[in-house]
Parts: sequence; structure tokens; C-alpha cells
Amino acid sequence: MKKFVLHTVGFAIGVLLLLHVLKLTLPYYWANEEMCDKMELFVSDQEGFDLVYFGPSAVKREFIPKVFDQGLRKAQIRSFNFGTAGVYYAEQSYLIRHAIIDSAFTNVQYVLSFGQEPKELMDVNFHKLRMKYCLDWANYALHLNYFWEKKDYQQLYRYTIMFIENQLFIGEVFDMVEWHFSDFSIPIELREKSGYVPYEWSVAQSKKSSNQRDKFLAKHEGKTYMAGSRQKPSKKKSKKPQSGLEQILIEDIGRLQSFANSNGIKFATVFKPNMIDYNNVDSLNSIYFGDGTSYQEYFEIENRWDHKHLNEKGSIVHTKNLAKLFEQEFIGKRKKSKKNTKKKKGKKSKDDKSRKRKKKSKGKTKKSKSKKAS
Amino acid sequence: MLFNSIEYLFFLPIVFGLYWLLAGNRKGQNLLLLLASYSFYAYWDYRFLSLIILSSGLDFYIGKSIHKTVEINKRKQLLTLSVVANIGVLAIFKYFDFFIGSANDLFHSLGVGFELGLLEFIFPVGISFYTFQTLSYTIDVYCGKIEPTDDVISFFGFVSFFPQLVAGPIERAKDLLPQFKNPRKFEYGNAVHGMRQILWGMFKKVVLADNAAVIVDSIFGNYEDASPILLLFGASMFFIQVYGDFSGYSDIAIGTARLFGFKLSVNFSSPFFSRSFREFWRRWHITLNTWFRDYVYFPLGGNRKGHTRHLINIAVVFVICGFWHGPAWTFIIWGIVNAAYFVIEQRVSSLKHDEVPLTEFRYPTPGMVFQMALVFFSIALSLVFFRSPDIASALNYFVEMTDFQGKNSFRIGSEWISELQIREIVIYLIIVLVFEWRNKGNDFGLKRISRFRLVRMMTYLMLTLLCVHYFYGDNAFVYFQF
Repeated sequence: MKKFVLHTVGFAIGVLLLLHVLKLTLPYYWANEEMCDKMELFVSDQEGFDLVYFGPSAVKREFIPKVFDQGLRKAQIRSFNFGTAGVYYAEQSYLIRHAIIDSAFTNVQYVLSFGQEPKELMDVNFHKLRMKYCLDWANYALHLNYFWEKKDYQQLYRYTIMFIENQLFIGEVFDMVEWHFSDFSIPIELREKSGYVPYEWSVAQSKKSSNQRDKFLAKHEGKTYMAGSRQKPSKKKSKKPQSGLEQILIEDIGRLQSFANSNGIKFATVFKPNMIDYNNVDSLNSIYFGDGTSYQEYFEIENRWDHKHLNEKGSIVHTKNLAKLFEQEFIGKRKKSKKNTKKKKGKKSKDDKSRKRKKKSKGKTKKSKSKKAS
Repeated sequence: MLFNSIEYLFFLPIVFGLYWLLAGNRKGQNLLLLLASYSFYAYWDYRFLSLIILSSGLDFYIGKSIHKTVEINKRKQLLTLSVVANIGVLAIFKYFDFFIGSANDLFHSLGVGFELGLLEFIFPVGISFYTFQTLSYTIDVYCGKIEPTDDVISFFGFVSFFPQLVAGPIERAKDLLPQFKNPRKFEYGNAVHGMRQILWGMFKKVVLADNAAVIVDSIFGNYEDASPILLLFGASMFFIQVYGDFSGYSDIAIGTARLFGFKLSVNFSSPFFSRSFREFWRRWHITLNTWFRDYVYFPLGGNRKGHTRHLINIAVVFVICGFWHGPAWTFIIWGIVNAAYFVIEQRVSSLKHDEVPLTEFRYPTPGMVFQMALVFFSIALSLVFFRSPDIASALNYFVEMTDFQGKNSFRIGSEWISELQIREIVIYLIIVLVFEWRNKGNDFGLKRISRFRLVRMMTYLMLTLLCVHYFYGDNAFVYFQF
């Protein structure tokens, strides 16, 4: 009996160790192909970036680094768009945590994170690699707490299954091997855009994205305003939120924020205007657009690509607004703190520059070959 | 609970550990197996446990009563009660709506404005399997083949033994019940054997069958746009899917039972190497076919009542076998088609290839390959009825298969199936065929691999990695629906 158990357990541990070693050869973002592409571009840039913005397609399609940088000319900030389609909260916080300790991010001073809530695992994304590769212990514990509070036991079960699958490398073997043979490189025409990928460009490449656009236009044909998408302004300016962010989530974002701060990086969560009213996030560093009443242009049909995303024109508006709010939140504060310390006003203080650790470019992100080729 | 699920990955070691902690305490082990079996079943739907308990309790009682009763008429009444009760439950849950629906169709076609109501019950998983198992017990007691048991836990355990509860192999009381009564001792060789068989079954299920299923779903879902060669490929893939799925389940069941010191019957014996239909049916779903042979074919007279009656008996068994698979005309047609294959072969063929065991051949001869291919494609084509939702779709599938105009007849790939998918499935199929050919005289494909330990270990590792990759955990077994 002992011999049998030892042999069986030994074999199982051997297989798991082998797969673990294989996984160690991959970067932390390996299962997100778009992220692989963007990381190639990010690392290959010689000047380095000061600000990175992580999030889902709402970031990928709506945050234009060049417009943002122009809006913050005086502060001389160079930003990069790390938005990738389908990123949900677990993946986003996982990517940010690892990015902060990644040597490729040593120049980065600011990390922006898209404000969103944990995603429910539906049949269509259950067992999917993208949904589980980022489920480490921290993320798993967060989702357990979050759905426990909501009494959503199906999600508890699903996240548990996905977590175990991730620990046992189920459904990942081929993908892990395949990663080493894949060529990641961002298209040349997008290189100038620092990670920004407008829908207009995607549709020109493939007709896939045009369906949702067509449906959207058909639904709102002849209208100028996307009715019902923005929350109606309440008559009384009540401080009580209509629907706040879950406390568990606020605490988790707070931990991520502290972690970033302890690594010398300023962190903020961006709450877009067309989202529900998250006005209980005072304890966080946030760029909060409110419930959307002050940003009616976001809901003009001419500024939108579809129900969820802005088009390039709308994205310019959004990015300019974001730059303004960012300046108020961070740059203003920085100036104040500089005044307090009686430092001379300049492009960047020596302290700021010295805070930039030496960039160990091309460190963990392999694939320099593909970069050269492209 | 599915064998290919995360839950089972935890369930099996826990039950295994507790079971052997109780080594030497046979009653304790049996009780644990019974509780584990009920938990295993209840994980799917606890409400239907009552059906298993009811069916087990009834046959336990009737078995004892038949044995005590001397009067023939009363014995017959008791047996009839058992048959009616078991088949009745099966009929209500599985066939009632089919008959009512067919009657309604008939009324409709006759212009009668009358419609009977449907029950629309959920189908209890495995009901066809455990009903046949418990039914065989009372019939065998009636025929005096076995003595009824007094051990209620053993009997209930025999009916609900979790490895084979939901999709067989369908065990006979004379084979399995004594194993519950005898003390079990852990044997290293037996357990290793069990693990290998589980690995082989898992490979056939999650690697071969589940990948074939993706292709099959695509082709059957878009058959109107597929080329004839692709449709033939789709039918063949469905045959491969059903084989991988069902024989995979059987291997996992038999392997699991071995871990607990039980020996279950062989259910599949390399059916792709059959050189005739007769040989095929001796290699495919063996426990069901022998059940029908013993409890339907022999009572009908078998081959002892003349040639014509013999052929009729064969046809009856095939039709019932088709109907056993599901309450639909497509299954009945499938049974009729296979009966036709069998009967025609009996009539026209004087060759008896299958009398020479396959173990006599190191490699298959070209003639054998031709015969195997003929049987394979014939069965695959009959399975179009099995897979199609209705007869019209099946017939349309055949019509499209003969439509060579306007289609690229020999194009294998399509928008819905990549050539990579096809290459992968062909590689997995070759692995299965090579291992099964090497083990054609053995219980399963991994029994004999190589005398070199390193080769064996590398084989286990390769198969395990493939299983880990494709182990998604929510692809139910095809035969659960029967």
C-alpha cells in the first residue's frame, strides 16, 4: 500500500514539478497575447515611459497616450496604454502587482488602473485560460470573500474550480509550450500609438469588430444622444451612493495602492463617467468622473463606437479630460509638495530623476528577435 | 459527478484512503462504498437517489421472496412484479413522453384534434444501466442461477457501485455480488493495473473523444455546407468519439474498481479491429450485448427454432438494443440498420475470419485492413442516425453525402474545422490504434507497453500531460444520456 501511494504521489508530484518548471520559463503575462505584444513594444522603447494605464478594452480603445502626454506637456510625462481586451479585475490587479516588481517598469512613476468589479464566471468563460492564469492565492482569496459577501455560491464554486485548475496546470500545457514558438510583435502602424488601438484600425484589419458597431448604429439610427446609458442626475445631491464599490474591493485596491507606493510608484484608479456611481471611493487615490452628468459629450452618438466604447473622436475628448483630472490629482499635488520643500521649479527634480532606477531593458521580456523583425 | 472533473480528483483519493483504512473490516468497507456511491450519484441530483434505493429495496425483497416460494405461479407473479416495476420506472422516466408524442403525431396526421399531455420529467442519469443490473438479479434468482443475498448493504452496494453506476459495465449479480461478500486485500500489482487503466480511459475520453466531439459538432451542425468527404469524415469521427467516450468511461470504471479490489467485466475489446459485424458486436458494449443475449435472445429461442426465426430473433434484439439507447425513432432505425448488416452478413457470408484470433497476427494483413475498414465505415454510417436529432436530418445528411456538385468534394478543412484540429485528432487516433493493436489480447491498451522502464515512464508522462491539457472537466460522457 505504502509503495503504491508513494509511487502514485511521486509520479503526480513529478508531473506537477515539470509543469511548474515549464511555467517558470514564461513571463507573468504569458496567457494574454495582446499583453505580450504590448510588452514587446514597451520594452523596446529606448526613452522609457513614466505612466502606464492598465485595463480592459475601454482603456485599449479610449486612452490615447499622445493626447494625454500633450495635455501634460509641462510635466513632461510619457504614457503607455496597457489596455487589453477582456481584462477583468483579477487579471488587471495581477498584472499590475507583477508589473510593479518587474525590472522593465523601473522608470514608471505612475500606474493607472481601470475601475471595475470582479467578473462573474459564466459558462462561456468557465475553464478559459485567460480567466484562470492570474488566479494566484491573493486573487483567489479576494474573489472568495467578494462572492461570499454577495452569497453567490455558484461563483464561489467556479472560482475554486478555476483556481485548482490553475494550480494543476489543467488546460495550459500546450499553451505553455506554444508560447516559446510564438512571435509577438505589435503592428508597425500601431507602434507610434504607444499601445493605443482604435476600433477604426481594428475594423480595417478584420471585419470581426464591425458587427457590434453595426448593431449599435442600427439601434441608435438618427439619434444624437445615447439615451439611457448615462445615469440620470438625481434631484437631490445626496452623498449616499446609489451603488458603491464593495468594501472588500476597496480594501484590495487599497492594498495594491500601498504596494505601489512602497515601490515608489503613484497609483490611481480611474472611474469612467459611463459607469455606475462609485462615490464611496474617497479612501483611494482615484480619478473619478462621477456619474457622468458632467460629461454629456461621452454619450453623443458621434463620439461613440458602440454601446461600451468611444470612437477615436470620443477617445480624444476622454483622454483630454483624463489628463486634466490627472493633473489636478497628481501634478498639482506634486507642485505643492515641491513648493513646500522650496525646490526650484524645473522640468524634473533631481530627486525625481534619481528615483528612476536604471532600466534593465529586455530583462524578463524575451522576444527581441520578433521586435527587430517587425 | 464526472470522472473527468476536479471534484473526482479529490473524491477518489479520499474514498480510496478511507476504504483501505478499513482493511479487514469488510462490512465497514461495504458501507463506505455504499455511502460513497450515493454521494457520487447525489452530486448530480440527490432527488433521484430515491429511485435507486426503491429499485434496490424492491429487488432485494423480491429476490428473497422468490427463493422462499415454491409455488410456480407465485414465483412468476413475483418476477413479473419486479420486471413491471423496474421497466415501469424506466418507461415513465425515459419512454413515456416518446410514446405520448408519437401518439399525438398520429392523432395529428389523422386529423384528430386531441392531444395527450407530456410528463417532461428530467431523465435520471444511469437509470438504464442500474435497472438492467438489478433486474438481472431477480431473473437469475428466479432461474435458480444464484442464491439471493441476505446482506442488504452488499446488495445495495452492488446496485449502486459508483465506478459503474451511471454508464456500466452492466454487471451480473453472480459476478459482482460475491465480491462484496468476500474480504478484499490490497494488491500492489492490481492497484497499479487500475491506475494504468484509469490513465488509458482518461486519455480516450478527454483527449480522443472530446477533441473528436468538437469536429463532430461542427460537421453535424453545418452538414448542408460540407463536402461529401467531410461528411464521411464527420460520421467516422462520431464513431471514434462514441468509442473513446464510452470505452474510456468503462476503462476508468474498471480501473477504479480495481483500486478497491473489485474486478469488473470487460466492456470493449478493440472493436475497430473487427473483421465482421458479428465480431464487432462481440467486441462492442459487451456487457449490454450479453445481457440482451441472455435475457432476450435466448428466451426468444436463439438459433434453435429454425433459420428464419433465428434471423428474426437477431433483428428483435437489435431493435430493442436501439430503443434501449433512447426514446427516439433515430435509435430504432439505427438498430434496424445494424440488424440488417448482421442478418445480411449471416446470409451471404460463409467466411469466418473472426475465428482466427487477432493475437495470431503480428501485423494486420491487407485483406484484414480492408475488412476492418468495411466494418468501420458501415458502422460509422449507421451512427449518422444515432447522432442526428431526427430521421429527416439523418436522411438529409446522406443526401448531402452524395451531392458532389458545386462542392469541393475532397476538401477536408472548412471555416469551422481547421486542418490543425484534424491533424491532432488523427495523431490521437493513431496512438489509440497502435496501443490497442499491441494489446489486442489484453484488457486494455496500456497493459503491455515495453519491457524498458524508461519507455513505460515516458509513455505515462506523455499521456498524463495530454490528459492534463485537455482535462476541462465539464464534458459529460455521451452514454450518460442513455
